[in-house]
Amino acid sequence: MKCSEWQEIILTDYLDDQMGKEQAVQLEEHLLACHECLEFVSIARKAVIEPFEHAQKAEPSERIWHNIKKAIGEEQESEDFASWWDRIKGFIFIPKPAMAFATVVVVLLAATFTFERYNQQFQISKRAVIQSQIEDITYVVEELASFSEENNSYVLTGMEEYFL
Amino acid sequence: MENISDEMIARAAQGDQAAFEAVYRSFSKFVYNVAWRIVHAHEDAEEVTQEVFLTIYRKLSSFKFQSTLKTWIYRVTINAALNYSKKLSKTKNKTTEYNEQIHCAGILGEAQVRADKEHNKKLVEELLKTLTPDQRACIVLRNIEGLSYQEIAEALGLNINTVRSRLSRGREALLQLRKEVIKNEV
Repeated sequence: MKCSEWQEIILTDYLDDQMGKEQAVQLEEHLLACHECLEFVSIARKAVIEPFEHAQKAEPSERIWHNIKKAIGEEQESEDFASWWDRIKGFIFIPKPAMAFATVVVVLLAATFTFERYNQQFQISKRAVIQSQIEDITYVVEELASFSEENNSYVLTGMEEYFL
Repeated sequence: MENISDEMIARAAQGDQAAFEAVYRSFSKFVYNVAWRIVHAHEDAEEVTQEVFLTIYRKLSSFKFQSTLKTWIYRVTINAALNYSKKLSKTKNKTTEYNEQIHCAGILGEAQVRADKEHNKKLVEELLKTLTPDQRACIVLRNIEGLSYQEIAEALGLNINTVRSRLSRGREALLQLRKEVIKNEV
């Protein structure tokens, strides 16, 4: 194995103590023979491991838990309100958009159908009225005609003659 | 980090606030520190920590014990911190970024001669800032929190070789940054 390959392993598995036993033995043997890689181990440890070994850890402020607790409380309140609202909704029918649309369509169809039926009945009754009017007129015309025929043989009285 | 019993988790999942507080007390330090190392500022870390625990509270009832609670919390934390960090970097002014790099170079120079706690703290912060968020997450979990490669892979939902590769690239970047300083010290 080349030094560059060993150095890649040094930078990760070796420094993190994650190497297999066999490979670790091979690397130790290589380090005994290679000054460059031995120096690399020392520099790498100082550069990328040691600064973090002394890294301080911060204590989270109590304010964080206070804010979390507050946010949870608010969420629970809104959940309680939502469940209360759901219960109310059980009693009151509130159509959802799709339901409302379907309802409007059904109402429109029903209205159209009813109007059509009414219109048909209206047309029929209108025709019947016209028919009866025609019959009436025909009757009057016939009556007048028969009257005029009768009138030809009618002898007027003296008074009728005077006025006519 | 204390171990939380399954019974306690179940109680917290049912909305028992005392049980949830026990979960919080057990994991808050880990969550806060990982978030802080990834997003850099304490105020941002507080926000991420709150977000993480609210996510845990909302989703705890669907936690099926397929992984340990610890692994699940690691994952939620890393995702929240990385998302926050990415959101921050989008809004970050390029000039600020450049100035930070100059500032970083100054700190690294000083750090070689002063080994006190304050400087080491700044050194760690500045070293982490030079990494990509993904590399940073791996290095924080390994170097500061001491997770194994396997645990990091589970927490990040990655293959173990991807974890190894991110650690390698991140450390390579840090090594390039500090190599000369260390050689001069020696």
